Amino acid sequence: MSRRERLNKTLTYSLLLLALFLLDSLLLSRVSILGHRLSPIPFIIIALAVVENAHFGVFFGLVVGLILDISSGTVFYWYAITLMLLSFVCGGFLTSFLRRNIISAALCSLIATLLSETAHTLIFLVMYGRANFLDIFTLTIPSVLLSFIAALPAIWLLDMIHRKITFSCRL
Amino acid sequence: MRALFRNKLFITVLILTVFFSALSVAAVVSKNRSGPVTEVVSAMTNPVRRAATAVSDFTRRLFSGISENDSLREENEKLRAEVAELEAELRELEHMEDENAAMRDLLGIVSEDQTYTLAMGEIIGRSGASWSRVFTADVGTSSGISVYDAVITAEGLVGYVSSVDLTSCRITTIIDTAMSCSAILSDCRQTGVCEGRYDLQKEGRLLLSLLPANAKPSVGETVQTSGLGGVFPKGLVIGEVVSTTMTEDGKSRTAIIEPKVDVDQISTVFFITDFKSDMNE
Repeated sequence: MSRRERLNKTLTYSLLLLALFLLDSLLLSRVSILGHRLSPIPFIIIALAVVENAHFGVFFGLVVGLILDISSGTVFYWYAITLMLLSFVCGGFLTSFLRRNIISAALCSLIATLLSETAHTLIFLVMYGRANFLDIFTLTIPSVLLSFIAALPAIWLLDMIHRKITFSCRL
Repeated sequence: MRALFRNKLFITVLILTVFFSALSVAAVVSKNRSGPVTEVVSAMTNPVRRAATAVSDFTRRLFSGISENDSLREENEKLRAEVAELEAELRELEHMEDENAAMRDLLGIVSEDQTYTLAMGEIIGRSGASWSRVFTADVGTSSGISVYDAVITAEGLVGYVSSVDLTSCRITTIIDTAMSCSAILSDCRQTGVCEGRYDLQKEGRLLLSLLPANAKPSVGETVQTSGLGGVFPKGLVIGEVVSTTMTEDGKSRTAIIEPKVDVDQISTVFFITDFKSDMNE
């Protein structure tokens, strides 16, 4: 990847994520569907790692993860650590077995986020008695699935941006 | 495996994971969950979040104002009549208070009065995670805010400050799973613990647990902070009882509470930075 391509992509993805954060702040944080809050941003980071490469995923995972940790109030750096690790695994290893396309990006982001949110519910809620084990199936999983559906347009946009910039920089 | 440990990205990820895990442990151990990384990121992102929340609030008010015009007019007239009635009642109560004070003087009783020192703040961010209801406000240690300060509105308790930096703070709301405070039922005077639960958070409710088995809370009964422990002042309204059940072991009773404050609709809050109570003196 040339320096120009890398810079273009970094700036464009930063703007895309900024727009998503604004959308989250303006709309998504105040809306609930069937009682579930939508949180599409973690999906976008994992999808970015699959569509691009692990370097992008780890960098944006760290920055976005820190911001999500601060706004969620726990400051256990959960999102920073998990988004970094999952981006590294998905972008670095899984793409040896899968093609870098929108379908594998969506699939990896869904599975990774499901694992991450389930682990969070188990470790921080069920073990501390603030939730039951069954809440994973009645609350966590439906919430992740609804957020995934909300994230699909952004994943599509991400894939389109990647292809356009890659194509234009290599001309 | 060796190739993995030679990979620069892997080593970077490993170092950062260890670093942030250490910060997590430090945050858990320390009273204030805000650290240097949080302060820097918070200071950088707060202006953007403040602007985004201002636009969001304006848009929400504009659309709700247009759609609710007729009902607002009707409610306004009804409230004017109520205010007139309340003003008459207030005059009568002021007269009774004067009489009461005079009688107390006669009996030599010192009246206890809770006084609060308040700071005002605006909500500039709301957590997006499905498992938390934590807000960010635009005031911090520079405005006298500290960890565990109670956060209220005119209706009642909103939550408490869980972490604070120089210019902002995080408010754990009463329906968040990290919420826990001692509470008392206003009629039967039984004490329990109000805590957030993951399953009730979806409905915007919380649980009052550890009530005695023989407690008989009634539906609609008000729940207030008890003041025990000295963290929250006593008498702050939390909400009303919606339903009660006995625990499986039959040793205590729980009640589901509907909060007085709709935490998803508030934009301005007050922080009790100091209060005078029996526990504080």
